[in-house]
Amino acid sequence: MDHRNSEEAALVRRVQARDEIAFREIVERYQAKVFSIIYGILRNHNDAEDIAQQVFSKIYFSIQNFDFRSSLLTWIYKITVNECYDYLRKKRVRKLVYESDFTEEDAQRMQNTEAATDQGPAVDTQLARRDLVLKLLAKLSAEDRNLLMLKEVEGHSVEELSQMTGMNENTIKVKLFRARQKLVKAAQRLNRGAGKF
Amino acid sequence: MHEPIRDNLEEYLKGSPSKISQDFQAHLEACQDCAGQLREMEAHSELLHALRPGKEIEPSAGFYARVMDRIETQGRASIWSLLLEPAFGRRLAVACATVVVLLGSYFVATELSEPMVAVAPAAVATSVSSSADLSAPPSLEPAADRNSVQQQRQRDAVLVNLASFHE
Repeated sequence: MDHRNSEEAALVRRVQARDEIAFREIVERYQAKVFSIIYGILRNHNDAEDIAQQVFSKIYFSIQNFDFRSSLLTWIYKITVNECYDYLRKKRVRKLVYESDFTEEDAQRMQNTEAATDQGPAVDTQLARRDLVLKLLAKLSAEDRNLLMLKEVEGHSVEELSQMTGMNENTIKVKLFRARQKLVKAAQRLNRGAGKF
Repeated sequence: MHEPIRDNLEEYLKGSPSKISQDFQAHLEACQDCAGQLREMEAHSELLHALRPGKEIEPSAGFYARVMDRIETQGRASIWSLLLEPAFGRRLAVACATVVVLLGSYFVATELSEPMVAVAPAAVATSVSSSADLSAPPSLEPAADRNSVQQQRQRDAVLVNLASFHE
């Protein structure tokens, strides 16, 4: 798929020419998507707002380097996930994941509901699963991580990924396979490390 | 993991049995290694679903204005923040360290060579003999030549050292 001749490409060219109306259109078109990606990773509205602002600021400053090899959404997705991981690195993964998941809303619900004690383990399991998957993804390269997330989190097919990234389907399959292998190895290392203590 | 499994992995994880070749199932039953790896990849695929947002999130009103505020702030600070960028900062530090090492080694080399020239016995002897006996100019010239040759050699040695250090 040629990303140079689409309506989206025309919009990007306008932003590259510093057309602020075009940039506003990009923000409005992708803000919900960016927020959802960030919220999926961090589960915190305040962090999502801050990181989303940073993502669009990065888009504004680096759109001159956008080369139309992938779709705009793929490029924005990459920036968003990288920003989330930068944020997690700065805040230290473990602390952030556990604290951010317990929003005030969650705490209120758990206090007010009689069955709160029954929900406890389920929430713990969810948190532990997210904590683990974020740790494992942190062991992959940004490219592997993005591809795997576009496939598994966003639910895109191999065909769609091929169109979005400009790579052929076999290349996507090989890259996904290698990323999955790395994930398995990272999990094995983590398990071995945990077994030592 | 063997080819029949690798080739059909994405279709299998996606849950599209119609697209999976017959070799896949046959190999899976025969190869315990592949079956084990497949189970792990399946579990990780499931694990990744924990990052799905579940619902569409919309920002609060005025988001675009807040983005533009941030862009304005970062645009003003960008020249100075460039120095704090990790990649640029590292390159700058390496360049500074290289310059310091080069200058340092040059100065050390020249400092070491100059006193040697000043206290060289030949030079002292020459200056003594030249001040004591003005009627012997022929003995002065070879000693001065030797000095300048020696100095030249020392300069060459420093230059070779600097050049080889740079490589």
